[in-house]
Amino acid sequence: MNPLRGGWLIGLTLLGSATLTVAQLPDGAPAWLAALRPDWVALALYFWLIERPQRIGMVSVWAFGLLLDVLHGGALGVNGLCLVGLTLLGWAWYERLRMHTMLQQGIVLLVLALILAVVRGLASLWAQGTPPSFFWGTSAAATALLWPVVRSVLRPAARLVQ
Amino acid sequence: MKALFARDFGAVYIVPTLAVASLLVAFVDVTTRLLDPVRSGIGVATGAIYTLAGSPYALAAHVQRLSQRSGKVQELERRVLELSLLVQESRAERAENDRLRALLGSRPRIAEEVLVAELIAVTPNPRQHRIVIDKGLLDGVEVGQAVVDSSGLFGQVIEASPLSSVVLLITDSTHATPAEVHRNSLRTIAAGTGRYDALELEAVPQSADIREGDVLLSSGLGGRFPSGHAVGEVISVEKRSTARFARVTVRPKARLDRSRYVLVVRHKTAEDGSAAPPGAGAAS
Repeated sequence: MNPLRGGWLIGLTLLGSATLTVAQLPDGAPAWLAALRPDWVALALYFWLIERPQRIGMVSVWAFGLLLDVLHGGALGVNGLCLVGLTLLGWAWYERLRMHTMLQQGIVLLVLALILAVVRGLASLWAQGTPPSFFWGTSAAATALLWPVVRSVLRPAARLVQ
Repeated sequence: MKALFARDFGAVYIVPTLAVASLLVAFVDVTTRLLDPVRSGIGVATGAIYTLAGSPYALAAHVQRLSQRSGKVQELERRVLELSLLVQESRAERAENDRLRALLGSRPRIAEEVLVAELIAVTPNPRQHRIVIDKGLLDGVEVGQAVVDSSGLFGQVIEASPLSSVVLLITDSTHATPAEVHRNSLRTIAAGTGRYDALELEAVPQSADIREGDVLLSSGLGGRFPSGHAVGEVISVEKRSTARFARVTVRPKARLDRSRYVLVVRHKTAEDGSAAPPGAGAAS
């Protein structure tokens, strides 16, 4: 009946998050809003790593990272590395993270998002010579602040995934 | 429990493998162009994602166009008339120009082929001035082709996927455009600053004859850009006795942060029709 056991839902969430990372702000939006763009992909992946770690495969995550690299015009492999690192931590910590409160999970996510942003910034400095932007902190903070929202939105959907 | 066990076993090998693979791929991608086909293949998927991300705006624009259509048609018809008149004049002038060039013994300028493309996305990173257009390899777009809009030089194609391509704008901080001053053909290079409203001229001597209001055209040197497209207008010239070079700021003519439709110019060289060698200050 359900050969994918709900795996399509994980894929759909991740693709949706990738789409959100390149969505443009409306014309009237203030410019500082761009600095608050959260790392949607990290949010979605973090959720699934806590809820269904056994359904997140390393190789597929890495391939998804390649897609993100092309999407953002960065060096190939950088996002793969970031996401594989995130997945590894998710695999190792998911039992502990499940016991945490939402606040504690958010703090862990803040640290992870900061590390990811720094790695990506350094990679873009190396690959393109683009000076690192000053939005690392604000973007990571926005990511952590959105965690409760994302968790409560995706929670009902997680029941469809075995 | 079997799945758990297998997973832990696998992680020992797979994570280091993927980490090394990432670094290797990144290194190859940055230092060579070997992975461009891979990038272009993945570009099919990312093109779809860009279209999806832009769809709310596309829909809104469509609705808006529908509601304004009736009033616009008349205005456009009038404009078409005006423009066709201009085209006729310019045709006559071009013919005359070619005759004169033939008299002088130089080759006639090769006609440029253009392709209309629509902007479908802007790179979310504010430090990079890149846009994505809806024409790709299947439409004949190639890496290195120049992109112009109705007012001037826009940028160049740096990545081409089958259905979409990425354009680096002339204001990106890694971009430089070979240009010349229209008034006296002074050659110079207009470097991007990372701001949409400014270019800076590199290494202009203090004694150079350049002043505010001068119009810069692309010089066509380096072979990347066709010559004669408006690049910008000089808005300030700062000459200080302590500095080695004059500081010249140029406002780009193209509406880099506004244009929705752009033209991809298929520039051909006269000899064999193949693209000129890269190196016109192009960064990719």
